[in-house]
Order: sequence, then C-alpha cells, then structure tokens
Amino acid sequence: MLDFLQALTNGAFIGAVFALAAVGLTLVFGVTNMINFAHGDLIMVAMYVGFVCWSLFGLDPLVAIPIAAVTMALVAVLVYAGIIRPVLGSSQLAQMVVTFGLLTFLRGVVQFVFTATPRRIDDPIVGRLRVVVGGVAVTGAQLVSAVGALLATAALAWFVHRTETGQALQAVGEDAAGASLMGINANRMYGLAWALAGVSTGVAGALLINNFGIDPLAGAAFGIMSFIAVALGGFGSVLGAALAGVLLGVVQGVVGLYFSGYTLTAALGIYLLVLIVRPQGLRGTR
Amino acid sequence: MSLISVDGVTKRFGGLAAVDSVTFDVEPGTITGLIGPNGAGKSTLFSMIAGTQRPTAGRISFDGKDVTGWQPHQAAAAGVGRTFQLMRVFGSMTVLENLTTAAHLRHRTKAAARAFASDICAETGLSDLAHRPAATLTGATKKRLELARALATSPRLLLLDEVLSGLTPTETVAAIDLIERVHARGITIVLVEHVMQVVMTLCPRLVVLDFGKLIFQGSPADAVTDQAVLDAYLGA
Amino acid sequence: MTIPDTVPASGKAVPAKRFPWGRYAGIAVVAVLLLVFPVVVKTSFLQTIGVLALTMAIASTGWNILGGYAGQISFGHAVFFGTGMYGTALLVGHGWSPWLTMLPIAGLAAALGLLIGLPTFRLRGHYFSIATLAIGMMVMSILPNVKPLGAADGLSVPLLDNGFWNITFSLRDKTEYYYTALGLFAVATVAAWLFLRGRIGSYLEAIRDDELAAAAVGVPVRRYKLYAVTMSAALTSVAGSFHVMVVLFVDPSSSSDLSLSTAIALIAVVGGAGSLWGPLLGAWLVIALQEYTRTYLSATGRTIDLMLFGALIILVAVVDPKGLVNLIKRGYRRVRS
Repeated sequence: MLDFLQALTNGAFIGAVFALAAVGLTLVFGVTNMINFAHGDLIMVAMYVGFVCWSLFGLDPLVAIPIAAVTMALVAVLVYAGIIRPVLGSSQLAQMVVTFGLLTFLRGVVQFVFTATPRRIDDPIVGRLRVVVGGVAVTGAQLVSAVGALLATAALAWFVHRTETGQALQAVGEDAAGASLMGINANRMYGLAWALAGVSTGVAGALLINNFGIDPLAGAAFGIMSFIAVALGGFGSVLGAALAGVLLGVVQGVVGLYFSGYTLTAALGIYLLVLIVRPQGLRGTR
Repeated sequence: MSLISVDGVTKRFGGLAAVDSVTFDVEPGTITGLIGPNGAGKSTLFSMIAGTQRPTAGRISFDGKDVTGWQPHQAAAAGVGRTFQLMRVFGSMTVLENLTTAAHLRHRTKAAARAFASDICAETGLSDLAHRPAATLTGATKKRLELARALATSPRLLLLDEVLSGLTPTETVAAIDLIERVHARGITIVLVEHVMQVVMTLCPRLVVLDFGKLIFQGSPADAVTDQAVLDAYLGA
Repeated sequence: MTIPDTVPASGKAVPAKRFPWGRYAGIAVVAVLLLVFPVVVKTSFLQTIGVLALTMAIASTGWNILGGYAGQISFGHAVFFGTGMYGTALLVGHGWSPWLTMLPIAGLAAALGLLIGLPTFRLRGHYFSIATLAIGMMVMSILPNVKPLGAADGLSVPLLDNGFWNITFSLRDKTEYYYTALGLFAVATVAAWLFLRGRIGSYLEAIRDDELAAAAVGVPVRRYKLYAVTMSAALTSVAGSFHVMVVLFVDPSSSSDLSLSTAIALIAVVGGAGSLWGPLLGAWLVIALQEYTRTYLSATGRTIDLMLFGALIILVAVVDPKGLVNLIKRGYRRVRS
C-alpha cells in the first residue's frame, strides 16, 4: 500500500510539471489554432538556460526561474514574429512543417553550443530537502516542481480567465475577425499567447533541472506528453490541460510500480480510451 | 402526400430548446418561406431536415418515410439539397470541380459528372468562372456556387439558407431569377430569408418561427396582419 | 420517386482548358532525370540516397492519399511501414520470395489501417493527428516486448542469392536496387493515380476541404475515409517491404520511430501534399539534405547539419506553404507570362 501511495505521489508531482508544459501549449492552440511541435524543445532550451545560469553565474535553479521565464518569453516572441507569423494564414500542414523545422533547428543549435553530453545540476538548494509524510517520501525537487508548476498554472489560468487581456486572448481564439472589429489587435494577441507559452516553458524547464539531466533530446519526451495532455484535456482548455497533465503523470507513476516498461503505453492507452468515449477531450468544446 | 412532414420536432441544447415542438408540412412543387427573428431556430430546423443534426424529439418524414436522425449523405441521396448560412465551398477546387463533386452523387463516371456539372454551370451563369478556384470568389458568387452545387445533386427538395443576404440589388434580382427558374423545374424549395420584400413576393406560403416555436403558417398577406407575427418582429 | 431531368444548357458553355504542355514536359524531364541518375552518379553515397529517396517517396505517396488528399494528417504511418518491414522479414525468413510477400502484407497493413481508422475517424483535425501519434508510439513501446518479432533485437533478413526475384543485389553498386525502387515507385504512383482519378479522388478532396459540405452533397464521409486509409496503409507497407530487403534488418526503433512517421509526413508536405509529385520531390530534397548534412557536416560533431536542415525546412514552408510542387508551378507560370 505504501509503495502504491509513493508511486501515486511521484506520479502526481511529475504530473504537475506535465500540466504546466501542457498549459502553455494549449494556450497557443486556443488563441492561434495551431499546434507548436517544438514546444517540448522550447522546454529543453529553458533547461539549458537554467544550466547556463548555474554553470556560468552560480545561480541556483530556483533563482533561475524568473530568468528562464523572461528569456523564453523573448525567444517565443522572436519565434512567433520570425517564422510563425508568415505562415499563420497557411494550411495546418505548413504550420506543422515550420514548427518541426524549428524543433530540428533548436536541437542543432543547442548541440552545437553545448555538445550532446548530458549535463546535471549538482547540489541544487532543493536537493537538500526531503519530507516524509506518513511513510511517503517527497524530495525537495519534487515539492518545488509541483508547487512551482501549480502556481504557474494557476497564474496563467487566472490571467486568461480573469483579466481583460486574457478575455481579449480568448476572443481572438474564438473569432479573430470579430475580435478585430472590436478593436483587439489579433497580431499582438498571438504574440502574447506565444510569450505566455514561453513563460510556461521557462518555468517548467527551470523546475525540471532540479531533478532531471539536461541534454538536447530532453525535450522530446516532454513534448509528446504535452501533446497528449493537451488533446486529452481538450484543445484550448487550460483547466483541461492541467488536469490531463496530472492524470498522465499519476498513471505513469502507478503503472511504473507494477509494470515497469509499460508506463508510456499506459499513458497513451488512457488517452486513447478517453478519446473513444469523449472525442473532444475531458474539457474540450471544439 | 407531402414531401416533407415535420411533426413535433424539438431540439434542445442543454436546457434551451432551439426548436420547440414544430409541426408543418411542405407539399411537393411549392416554395415556402421560413422566417422569424434572429435566433428563432430556422437554421437548426434546416439542419435537422438535412440530417446535420438529430432532433431531440419528434419525427421528420420525407416522402412518407420516417427519416428522423438520418445522416446528411443519406438526405442528399434521397434528394435533399441544401446551402449553408456560412458559406462552405470546397476552397481548393475550381467552380467546375465543386459542381462535379456534387454531380457524382447521380453520375458515376468522371466524364458524366463533369458534363452534368457543366450544364449546371451554364444554367446558373457560372460558366465564365468555371476554372476559377472557389476560394477566390466573391461572397455573392460563392452563394451562387453553393446553390449550383446543391442543384448538381439533382435534388427534389432545396433548402436555401439565407442565399440572398448581403447581395447588391442587381445580384438580388439575378438570384431571385435563378430561384424562380429552379422552381419552374418542379423542385420544391424552402427558403430561410431575412430580406422581407423578396420573401413576400417569392413565397406563396410562409412558416414563421419565434423562439423555436411555430407561431404562424399561411399566406404572406395573412402574415402581415397576424398578431403573433407582429409581436415577434416588433414586440419586446 | 422521380428526379428532375437535366435541363439543357441555357447559358454559355464552359470554356475548355488549355492543353497542359507544361505538365507533360515536366513529367518527361523528371522521368529522364530519374532514369539517368545512377548512370551519371557513380558514388555509392549518392546511389544510397537515391534508393532511400525513392523508398520514402513510395511511403509518402501512401501517406499523401490520407493526408494530402483526404486531409487526415497522420503521425503514425510508421506503423504501416513497420508492418511491411516486419511482415516481409518474417515471411522471407520462412522461405517466401520477397515480391510475393508484398501484396499479402499490404493487405494486412490495410486491415490495420481499418482497425485504426474505425475509432479515430470520429476525431476531427488535430485530435485525429495526435491520436495517430499516440497509436504509433504505443506500437513502438509494445514491440520490444513481442518475442515472435524478435523483441528488442528485431529480426534479420536472411541473405538470399543475388537476383531480381529475391530483391537481393550486389552491394557494391546500388544501381540494381535503384532501378527496382524506381520501378516500384512508378507502379505505386500509377496505383495511387488510378485510385484517385475517379469519384474517390473528388470525394476525398471534398472531405479535406469541408466535411460538412461534403456530406451535404452526398459523400459518405466515414466510408471514404476508410477507403483512403486502406490504400494509404497498403502503399506505405509496400515501401517497408522493399526497405527491409535493402537494409536486411528490422527492429522497433528503425521501423516505428516517431521520427519515421514524422519524416513520412514531412516529405509529403514539403514536396506538396495533394499532388502526386509532392512525395517524389519532397523525398529527394529531404533525404538528400539529411544525408548530406549528416555526412559532411556532423563529422565536425557540431551538428550544423541539424541547424541547416531545420532552417531549410522552415524556409520551404515560409516561401511556399503548399510545398515544392506549388513553388515550381508558380515559377513556371511566371516564366510563361
């Protein structure tokens, strides 16, 4: 029973980070109606940003969070302005190609600068912390990741649903033409959505390096989990993406306890099962 | 026997009844106008007749047979043609290809379908634009294309959803002319329209909806004096 | 039930289209280039590119039927390619002639396609794409546990005597592999062309453009999507069957990787989805780029190849979102006027 609870807990914590990653992705989709296939690799770049902060400036990952968030927001806006905007009106296929090209490019750049050697953060502040509750152990890294992720997700959700700018974002997502008529600058909103996605990847990346090694392919797994979480939660739904992320993490954690090697299969299986019953995802409407 | 028989048809979305227990018949060969204030449920009713949506309750009969909840392609095969309120042309295809695709319903080979599509093209005045990509057409021409495309399925019943809105006076005259020619062929037509003068002159019979309920059936002359109709359009 | 008769044309007749000289000339040029390629280029490196490009072109032609024509973007086509690889490897190991394995294994792939399509075709747009991605990854994660298919180690194809019938040729000179691949590509393209030329092609494109409108003009959408996936899966499987005879080996990562699914889709899109020439152009460009940058630039260990590859892909999409084929068409029209 204890093992089960431990696995559940581990899963929930990694799920929180999946949730954060997924929220950024679903935001971009909800507003611009396109899937960013390079999302996972933006997280990977954020991880390297955190690594640079640590190795060059001696900054702990926790301190690097805001730095990574701002950096990635800038990167995201650059990406949007440079390569996404030109293909906004084109077919989904063209957009897919562009983000795929970006993915490859990012991996190449990162590998060029840092080589493929995996990196690690030694002795992060949170590494010294370890909490045991009723027999279930939670490391400082897990705790911070989960708390950070939840906070960031909540902040994003609050921003989207409760602020005027957030409403504008939603308006553009639902009906770009109509929103323009109301005086909302669609282009600026798209850029903002990307910036917010950048923030989410920045925070996620900085949180992850407390626990995980850093290499150019680190983004792949997170990217895929993000897509699955977004689809499972319902494209465009922030709450859905968050719930789905946690669910996927928990499934992976629990399954990993009993059938190691099948964690991915189980996560994918849950996703497909839900889709059969509810094609629009847990909280999707489109 | 009526061509279309709508019997107690209701459509609920959550707690809201978009269409509420509507009952009426459409006789073959007639032109009927389906009117009502915005949100009255006209397009939803069309969707249910054409199979795009399923009624929550009630029955729809086509030619005497119960077809409630049928699929759109079954409706098309049985002879129901429709246009959409928000234009849905096949953007990547040319005008002729749009019509050929629709003509394939009754014409198996490409050659036969294309020949029939060409005839429809000519008949609807689209010949000059036959090889133009549909996505590049103006709004009015797209509506004409939608009508032509519905015609290319050789329908017995044509459901026209606001084909006249947003047209200039010249375009409106041409569209009315086309509708009258189509009707002269014996095709039954039901029109959803907001352009009142047109509806009054084109349609010898009107069905009026308000908040999903049918509030009036009869001639245009009677409609303008009916209290319920006046309340719906002019009242609070 | 009577249906109104055709009314004789009362307006002007539809103007005839001009004879497409350009298109036939283009086809001729491409055909000649493809035929002389191995004669002109003698290095093994380039010939390998040629064989791989043609193989992927076949796979992407299959993908194109579902993705380019019917508009259902699949990120799981590696499953069908892998079916071809594993199926042929297994049967050849039991003494079958490789050519004879292709049709039955393609049939198996088609059945798989149906199985996958039945639940997933209810999903629209991105939901469908991500679902195919998930299915593809599921297969890849399950394969290492399947003993009869060699588990994680995979299967080797026994080395047969040289000969066309065995699809086994001298490895020093790839010419024979190349021409076999070329012939197979021609057959696959003709098959795709025949499949798409009649009503099916129009209906699939209608589904791609607007499912609702397609249904409204009588297209049984679900049924035609299933037609598309069966043909699509079969063609991609044939590519896999051929490929395993070239590399003589198959394992989970080489046959069902996400990157393989992505490559198949990418090739069709970069070349021009919705055109039968797209996969051919896309395959040559992508495979050549990939192999060139990997061989000449990654030697430095500094992955300029990936950066270049990524940048070029982006460039193509931005310059002409409809792919190379459209770029060429536009250029041709410019030159003419």
